[in-house]
Amino acid sequence: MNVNKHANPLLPGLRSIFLLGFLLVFLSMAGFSQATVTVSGKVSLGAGSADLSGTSVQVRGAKGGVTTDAAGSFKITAPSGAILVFTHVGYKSQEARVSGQAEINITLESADITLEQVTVSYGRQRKRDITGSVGKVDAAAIKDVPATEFGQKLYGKVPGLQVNQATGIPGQGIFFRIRGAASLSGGNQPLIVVDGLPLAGDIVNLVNPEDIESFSVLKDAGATALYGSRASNGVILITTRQGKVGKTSVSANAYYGLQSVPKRGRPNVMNAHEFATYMKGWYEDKIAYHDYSTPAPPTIPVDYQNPDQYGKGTDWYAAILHTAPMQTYSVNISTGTDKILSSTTFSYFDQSGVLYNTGVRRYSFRSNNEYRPIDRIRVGLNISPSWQIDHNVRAGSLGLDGNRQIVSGATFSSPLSSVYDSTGHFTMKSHSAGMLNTPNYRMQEEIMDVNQNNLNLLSNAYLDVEVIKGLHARTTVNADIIAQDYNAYYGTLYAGFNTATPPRPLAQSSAVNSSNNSTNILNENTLNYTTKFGDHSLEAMAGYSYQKYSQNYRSISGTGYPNDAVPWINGSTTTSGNSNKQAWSLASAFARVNYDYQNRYYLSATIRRDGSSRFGQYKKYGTFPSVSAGWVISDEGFFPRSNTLSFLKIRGSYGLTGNFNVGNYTQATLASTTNYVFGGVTTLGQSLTTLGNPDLTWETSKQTDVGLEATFLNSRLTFSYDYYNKRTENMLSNAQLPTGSGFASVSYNIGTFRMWGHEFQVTSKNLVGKVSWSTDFNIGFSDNKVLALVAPGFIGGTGKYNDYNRTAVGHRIGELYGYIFDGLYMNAADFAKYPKEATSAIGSARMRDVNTDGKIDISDRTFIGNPSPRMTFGITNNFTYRDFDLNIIASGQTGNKIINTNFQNLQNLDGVFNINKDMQYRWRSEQNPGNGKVPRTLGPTTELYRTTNTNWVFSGDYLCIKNIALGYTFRQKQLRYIKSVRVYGSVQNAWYFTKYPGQNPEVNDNRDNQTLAGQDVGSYPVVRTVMIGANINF
Amino acid sequence: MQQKKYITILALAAAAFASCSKDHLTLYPEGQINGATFYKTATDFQEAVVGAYVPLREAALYSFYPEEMRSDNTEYDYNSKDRGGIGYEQIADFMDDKSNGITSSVWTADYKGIQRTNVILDRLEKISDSVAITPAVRNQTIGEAKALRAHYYFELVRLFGKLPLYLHETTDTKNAIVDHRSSIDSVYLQIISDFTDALALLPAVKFPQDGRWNKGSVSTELGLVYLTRKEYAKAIPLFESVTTMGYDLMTNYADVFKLNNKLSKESIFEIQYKAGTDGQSSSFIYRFMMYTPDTKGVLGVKYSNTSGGWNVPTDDVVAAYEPNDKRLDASVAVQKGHMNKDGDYIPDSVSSILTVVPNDTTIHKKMIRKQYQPSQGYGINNNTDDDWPVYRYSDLLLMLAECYNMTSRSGDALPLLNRVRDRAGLPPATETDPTALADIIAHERRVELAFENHRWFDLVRTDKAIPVMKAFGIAQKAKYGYLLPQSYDVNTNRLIFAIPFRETQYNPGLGQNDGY
Repeated sequence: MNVNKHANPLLPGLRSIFLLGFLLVFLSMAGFSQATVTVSGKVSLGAGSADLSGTSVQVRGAKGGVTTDAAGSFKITAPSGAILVFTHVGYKSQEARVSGQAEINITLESADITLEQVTVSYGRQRKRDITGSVGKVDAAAIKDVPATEFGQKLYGKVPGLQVNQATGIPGQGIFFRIRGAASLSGGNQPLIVVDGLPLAGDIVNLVNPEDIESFSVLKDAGATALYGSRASNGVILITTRQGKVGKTSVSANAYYGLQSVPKRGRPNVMNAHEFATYMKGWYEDKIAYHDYSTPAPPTIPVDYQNPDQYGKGTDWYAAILHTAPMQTYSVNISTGTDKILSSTTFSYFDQSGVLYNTGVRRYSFRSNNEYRPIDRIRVGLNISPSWQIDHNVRAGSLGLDGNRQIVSGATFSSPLSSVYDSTGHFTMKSHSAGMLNTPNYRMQEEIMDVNQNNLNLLSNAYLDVEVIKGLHARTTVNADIIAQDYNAYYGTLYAGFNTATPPRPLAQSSAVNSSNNSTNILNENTLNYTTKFGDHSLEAMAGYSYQKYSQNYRSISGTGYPNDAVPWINGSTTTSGNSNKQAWSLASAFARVNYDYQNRYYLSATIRRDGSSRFGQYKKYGTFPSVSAGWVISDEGFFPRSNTLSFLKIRGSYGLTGNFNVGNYTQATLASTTNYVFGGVTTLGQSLTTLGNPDLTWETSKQTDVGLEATFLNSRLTFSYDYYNKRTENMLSNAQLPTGSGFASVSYNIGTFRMWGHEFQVTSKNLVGKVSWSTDFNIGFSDNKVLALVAPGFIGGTGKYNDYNRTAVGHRIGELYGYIFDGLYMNAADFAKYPKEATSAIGSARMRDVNTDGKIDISDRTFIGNPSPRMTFGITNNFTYRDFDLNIIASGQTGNKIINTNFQNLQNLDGVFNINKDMQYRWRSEQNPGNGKVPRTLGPTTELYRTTNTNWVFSGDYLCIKNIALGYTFRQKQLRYIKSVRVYGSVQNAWYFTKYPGQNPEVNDNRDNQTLAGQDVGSYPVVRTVMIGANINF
Repeated sequence: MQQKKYITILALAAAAFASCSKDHLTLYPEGQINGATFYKTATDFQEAVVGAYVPLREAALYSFYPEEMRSDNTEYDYNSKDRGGIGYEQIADFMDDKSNGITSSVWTADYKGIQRTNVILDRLEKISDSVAITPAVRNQTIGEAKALRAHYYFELVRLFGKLPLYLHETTDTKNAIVDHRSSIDSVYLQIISDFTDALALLPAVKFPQDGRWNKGSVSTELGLVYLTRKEYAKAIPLFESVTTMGYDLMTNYADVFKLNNKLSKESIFEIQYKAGTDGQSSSFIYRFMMYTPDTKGVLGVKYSNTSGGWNVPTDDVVAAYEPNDKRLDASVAVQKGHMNKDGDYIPDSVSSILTVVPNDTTIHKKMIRKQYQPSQGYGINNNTDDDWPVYRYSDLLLMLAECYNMTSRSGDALPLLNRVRDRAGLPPATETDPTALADIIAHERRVELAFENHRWFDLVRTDKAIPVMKAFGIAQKAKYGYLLPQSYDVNTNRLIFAIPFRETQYNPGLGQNDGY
């Protein structure tokens, strides 16, 4: 509505051409004289605001106006003697008379923050009017947090939003939990909605953090129910940067940082001297323990005969890591008139991994445009292509993460072996005598050749017509089109754990080329009516939508190559291929009514009905209603008016939300090809291989939320509190079946769970004025309990190996499950006294006889830790002094346990891996019993000690200084082309305070499957990043 | 007015949307067949029968551990380095418990096969249309399905004792659980009933064979079922019928296992494989040769074989061959090799067990030869062409001989026994005392059928398992210092294996076998 009527008339004509537009800004800044008075100046927003843009400056009584830029500067032409009105959301308006002064500098006082606008489901609301539980984060406040994935910016920002970096693999680490784990294997990630499009598939990390203007985290049913069908894990709404009326700005951001792996938490394995000593003893014991007749007793290998010849040897963990750079450059141009709003961002992102030869590069572009051809019509077109190149960070035959992959493998490589040979070339292996084969993982990094290119086209278009005053009809078409192309080659030098030492025959070289195309298309149509009559305000909205996701996939693999020069299938001798397609669809109708009386009593009701292709024939539809209410008590007559407590609102909600995160087609029993040979001829066969469940239906969460919001001390202190209680029924997961049925599991609505918690948030402006200091603190407490579960009342924890969790009635979801380690059978007396396992011997590990049946076996395993944090918290402190600003973000969690499954290698006593230092204090004889915690090495007795037990379980409590950023803003008047420059330096993941001995206390290697939570399987380390950056506004 | 029109259009659009949405919400995979619409035509059923044979292979990959390595015929090459195979070792040493992953794999494979046959039998019953399914197709389908189901149950009942009897298609979580175990007798009644039906429905064997179940293979296995139950009178006519079907011994014992003699006249039933990239290959020799980082000396190509060292012929079985028994050289080979710097065994060559010089200082390791066929070339790792023999004609002759002997017809038994001995280059047996002859026949079965998964079941069904394995255990413990004192504690409980732990967890009604 406000228009630059008086601005340079050349502007519209040049708008489309970037360079000229640029020029124009310079020209207009240079101050062409006009008939009327030109006033410039600066609007300051008080302490603590780095971004000073967005203050509207208008001539009272006239149409149009301007807004300030990031430095707070404005320039407006006005008749002499006119009154300028300065308004800014969240601040009290001010006026100033134009009376000949060249410059007007104003400081706005912060006003009722409850008037701030927040993006909510299908619209925006004033914070004051919201009756649900919603957390908002402005991207401006976290611009110094370097991020491969946008989630890295949300650390410690919203109570009840748990953000963890499960792994340090560039671009793949972040996972979220809103109010704890709501689902099981059905997926716990909140629904991510970008400008109205709910994303599908594994593409969250393709959303460019630089494009984002704000996040809204929707937590309770009142807030999420309009996305009801998929909202049981909460919703994160992302709004990308939009142009603003009356403001043309160009800004550039850049940073460059160096990432390295902190010393804390590195594996505490033996050095060369310690390991050779251990191995020498190991062979001595082998000869002593085994009464050899056949075969002849072994001799101690030459490698270990004289341990004193070795020093520290090779630190393989350090050898595979390096200091790696990361950098981003982005430019945004944004402009707006009464006809067009436009914002365009181009970004380049480049992150090398701390493992050699790994990294991610991304080129992304976003253009958001809104056209307003006539008063009542708005047409929008947002388009965002991005191209991401994943270099060696996608799973290949030799993975980075995971048990016995590169990180884990380097941890247990022999310190006696070396990275380079005497001629400076890579050695081929990293094991020494008697150990299991390990390649030189440093060399494997170097020859890795696994690349994935991702083309992502996220776009949406909308038409919004104001049919009559207050009635908007809106239709949108959103599309996310993704093309991924994956190419991997494993040549003659490739080797993994326990494979032949390279080089291997050319016949074994192999390559995989695969690609997939997916489309996620959403059409949404809404009618929205708002009206006011007297003290009543009413908003009514109704709509329907249809979404379809489809993906087709193809893969070719080839083996046998002429030489390593041809990495493509073209060169292979044997090829095989495969292709497939999958799809899901969702049809929904929804409605909402928001009502308020006197801006004091609020009532909101929503309903959504969804049908999904993923569910059984008669169970496709789910209905998800919610109701919420709010009461601003502080506006009541009886409430004492004071600045001490200026605002008090209570609110509550109850509603149903759903989840359909289960595989496609699980409702149907499916056959697959099962061929057999008759008389030498392969004959086509088909068998039912997947059991379907035609009764499968929506998982539904019933959530109650009660909240309170208050503002104290002249709005310097705000406080909010929420209590929630969520009961999830028909939880989607796999019911485990006895294999006598011919199947191992079936998709099933397996049970009922309860989750509850308390969330607090305090925002405080501790100091205002020359030195300002503000603090945001939030803390969430949560817990969960399994109330009912499909027979026999638990899932998981039945396997001897690689089965670390059990979800059982009466317990928390996904508790760790294993033996309780009670020490050793130190001597014959112990051996006679305590229950034994089939392979027990004097000096072997003694597990607790949990079921007290007098023997130790797999039935003696029990619950040994809760993987879900009981408390998560974050604290952000902002300081400013003159043009300096300092921002410190910390976050943490307590109450969860981590199982370091890599200990099955690092506590392996069979002489095949390098192992934890304390393994040297093992039991060797009754006279030499070690520290009483590490058993003997006698071959047939060692298995029990390396199955899941309490030795592997650690507290996951941590406090992390996530980000420290110190900035300085130059507001150089003499540089006429540049309005402001801010430079900053920051440290990310500055320090972890934790007792977890592993590298990453946030680890969770099965991040989206709560029934397998809390595992550290040898994760890609999380890095500390030191960086410098600049924000430049033109 | 205008807005009314607009609202009307929207309402109409909404109605149209609602009406078409049901189709939009019904999606089935395009890359797989939907089980609800399959099983309509003769081809569908024929394909389903093919699929029901596949679990034979999944079981065969593990069956030799509990059926041969459990016995005195084979042991393992103790590998102090890779302890990942301790589950296999424990089977050999009688130290296995309910968490053993190997017996659980056999259980899973056999029940998978049973489910596939149950689907076929249930679904076929619902189709009465003789146009879609002709009586010939119906008989063949039911016959093969029942023979397979009986075969799977027969392996299971001998390994695990009392079993949950799944006789219908698993369609949901309710009938996925048969919450009790039927008595061994009831399981056998089911097996006998299925085989009897199959025998009536299936055609006679035709040469060259295609390897499907037929009257010959069903009669042989049903005969063995009766023999196992010591119902000799019922076994004899079945075995006798097979002798008139056209089967015969091959002239040369070593030729029986050659790749170009698959499904020969001597073969009654074998699990079939085909080398190549279409997923039909076997890989037995990789398990049977040694654990080694370099297979070149055995296979002619470098490969790190970390799954080997299992089912290694014992000194005991080698000693069991009589002098000049041609079958020894055909059944057992010797690898010669050396230890490398890392303490790993590297085989250098494979040679005949007959040519090994006693004072040769190189390392010797015995290896099963029946699935070692270097002529096929081992270019693709873990990809071989060898079939797995289940029943051979010599097996049938010896079973019939045993039945005759057990029914006081030792005179009828001897010619059958001597046909087998004659081919092996051995003099005819003349013993007519039934007790002594029983031992001779048992011994003959041991060497004739060595490494073909008969030995353990023979020991159990002839009540010899406990004394034979106890004595064998004492000798093993004297030889191998790594064996724990508690190993080879052979008792009645150890004649069957534990019900897999996971199974008892998700189906608590099963209970557990005694001693586990």
